[in-house]
Amino acid sequence: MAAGQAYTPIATTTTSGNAASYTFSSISSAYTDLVIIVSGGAATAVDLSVRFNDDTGSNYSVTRLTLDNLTAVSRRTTSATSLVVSDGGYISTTLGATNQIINIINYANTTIYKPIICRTNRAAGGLDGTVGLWQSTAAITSIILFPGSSTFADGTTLSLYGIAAA
Amino acid sequence: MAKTYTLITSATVGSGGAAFMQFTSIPQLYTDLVVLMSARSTTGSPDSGMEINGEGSSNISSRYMFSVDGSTITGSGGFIALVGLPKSGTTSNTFGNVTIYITNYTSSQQKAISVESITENMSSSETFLTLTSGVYSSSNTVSSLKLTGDFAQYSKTYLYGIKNS
Repeated sequence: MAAGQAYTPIATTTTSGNAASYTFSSISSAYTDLVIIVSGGAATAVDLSVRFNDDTGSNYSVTRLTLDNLTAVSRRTTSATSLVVSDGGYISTTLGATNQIINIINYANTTIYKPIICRTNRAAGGLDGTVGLWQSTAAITSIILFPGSSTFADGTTLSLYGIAAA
Repeated sequence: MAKTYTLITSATVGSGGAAFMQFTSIPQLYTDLVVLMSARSTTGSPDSGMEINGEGSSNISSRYMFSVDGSTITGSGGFIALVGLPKSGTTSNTFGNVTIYITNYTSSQQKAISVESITENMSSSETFLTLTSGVYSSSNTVSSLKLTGDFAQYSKTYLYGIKNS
């Protein structure tokens, strides 16, 4: 990895009022890749999901290696209406006890479908290494994150960073 | 907005090796911490770990999944597993890579930890891919980190701070 000074903070929020979702909007195309860090909790234990550009079509797929308690499993989902980034590493109800790290590669490229790499961590019960794909050539300009049908615990932090190749 | 991913400090193991590499008095200026380590073991064990705030196994728990020589091993415990480093007698000049991400390290909430580590040596044994989820469940902020493992000369680690604003 390159030396320091590589991440540029684009936006961050700390949730309040039992937010059902949070949207990073008007994302500049000035970077090469995006990174989202989620540290917090949810009202109920639940997986974290994302959508890009408000696309609710069946355009998301994932392949993941999951540690479910002490069992390693491989799982695959295609033609989903959102990209579920966690499984064993889902958001817990204990604030700060889990985190989710999402890397979005070449997000502003208008030729390729967008690859996503995620790591999610829940020491009390599991973790995931996930690769995903949003089947769209559109540049990503907005990202909505939501904890399934639950709500984010107040105090959850969601941060968006840009990484420039040069 | 200013760029961030700031090198806080680094440590390098000299001749004779070292039982640990340690960061103390970590500034409370950032949102998250990242530790990058390139290391090799001087002993017959590939095990390496991380202690926080000198508390040993207190307030630490983890769950991990290893791919070791093509087999899968899972487990959990009161430690942060960073295995497996190239151990004594394995292919010369190979060092394992470890990435550790600690979110919200200055908060009074629990602090979740993400770890990935790899060792590849072009042989049929002693290769590792490790994914670990950890948590530091203390209300204390993270002010020191100690990486343990009987490190060989030229092992090196870097501590970075990431700030979200």
